[in-house]
Amino acid sequence: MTTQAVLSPKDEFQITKALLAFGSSELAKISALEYLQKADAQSYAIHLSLPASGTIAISYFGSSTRAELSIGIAAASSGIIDLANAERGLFEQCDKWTNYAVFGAARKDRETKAKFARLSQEWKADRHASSLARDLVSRPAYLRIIGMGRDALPLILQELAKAPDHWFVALKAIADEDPVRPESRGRMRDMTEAWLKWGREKGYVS
Amino acid sequence: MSLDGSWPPEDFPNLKSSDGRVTSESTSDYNCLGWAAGEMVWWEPDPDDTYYWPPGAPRTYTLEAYIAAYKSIGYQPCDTAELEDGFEKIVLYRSEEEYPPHAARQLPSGRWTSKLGPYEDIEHSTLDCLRGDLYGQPFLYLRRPTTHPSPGAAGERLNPEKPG
Repeated sequence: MTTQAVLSPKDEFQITKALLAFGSSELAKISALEYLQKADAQSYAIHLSLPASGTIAISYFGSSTRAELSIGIAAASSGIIDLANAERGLFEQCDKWTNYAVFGAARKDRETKAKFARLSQEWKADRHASSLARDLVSRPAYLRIIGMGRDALPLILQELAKAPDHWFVALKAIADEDPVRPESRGRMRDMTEAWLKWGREKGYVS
Repeated sequence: MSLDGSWPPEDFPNLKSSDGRVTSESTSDYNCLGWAAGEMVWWEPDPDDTYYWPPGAPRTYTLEAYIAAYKSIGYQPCDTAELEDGFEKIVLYRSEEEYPPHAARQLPSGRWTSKLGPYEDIEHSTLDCLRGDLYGQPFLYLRRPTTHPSPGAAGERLNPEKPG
């Protein structure tokens, strides 16, 4: 189940306030209650769509009473972070809903984006006129981007949306999928479109 | 356009401004292997099937695989880089690597056209101007009749004189 509420915060402070406001709203209470009534539910998520800053996913993990609810918050400026992503390490759990959780998630998000921007820039500056993608994607900065795992997916797709480039090896390595049709291989713009379509379907691209 | 591209100058220490001209914008849309074949497609024999490689040619980074790829679109080895009526030619470069690091295509004028990795493509008067550590040196010439049909399967056939 997913409940959506559109907010308009633009910075961390505002995000914090918005979340706290949302947490005390009737909607949040109802959501928590609904969750508690579903004994077989493994998880529950509320997606807050933030037009200026992306999406914050707030997930309640299994517990039997409201007091035991643990809340994790994951933020990204680039798109929806779903539970599958959150469980892969980006997720932060807290015993209760606190500013710490919000700031922690926002800080981590900011650090992830900064790291990706730096590595991406390094990679682009480190290219020779090699005719092979193999040489381009074996550069240290590119390998470190792959090492960022799923955190990097929405950021890579954002880069790809700006211009076709050799992100496909990283995308395949991280996502363990290849949405490119055989007849599109080597056609960079078609490959780009296939991955952006995949990103939209998976919720990485808005 | 002049021969003032965005590639790292150290990649081509023998390339002078008088050697030719830039004929495209910088782009990753295609590489020299596809461009030599007349297609704006990224050709690469990666074993993971990410990029295009002619069906039937081995997906290995070897000279034999490259020759097989160009044979699949009608090219056969020949002796020289001289312009010959009725034929179009490509040249494979060779360095210390097991695979040719570059391919260039001869234009009807006798000049050559090369895509420089993920950067621009250029028209150049000699093959030696790209000689160096990165591309090695011209090694193997291949030709096919100019009447050979377009490959068509992976990308559009280009007017060989038309700048990319």
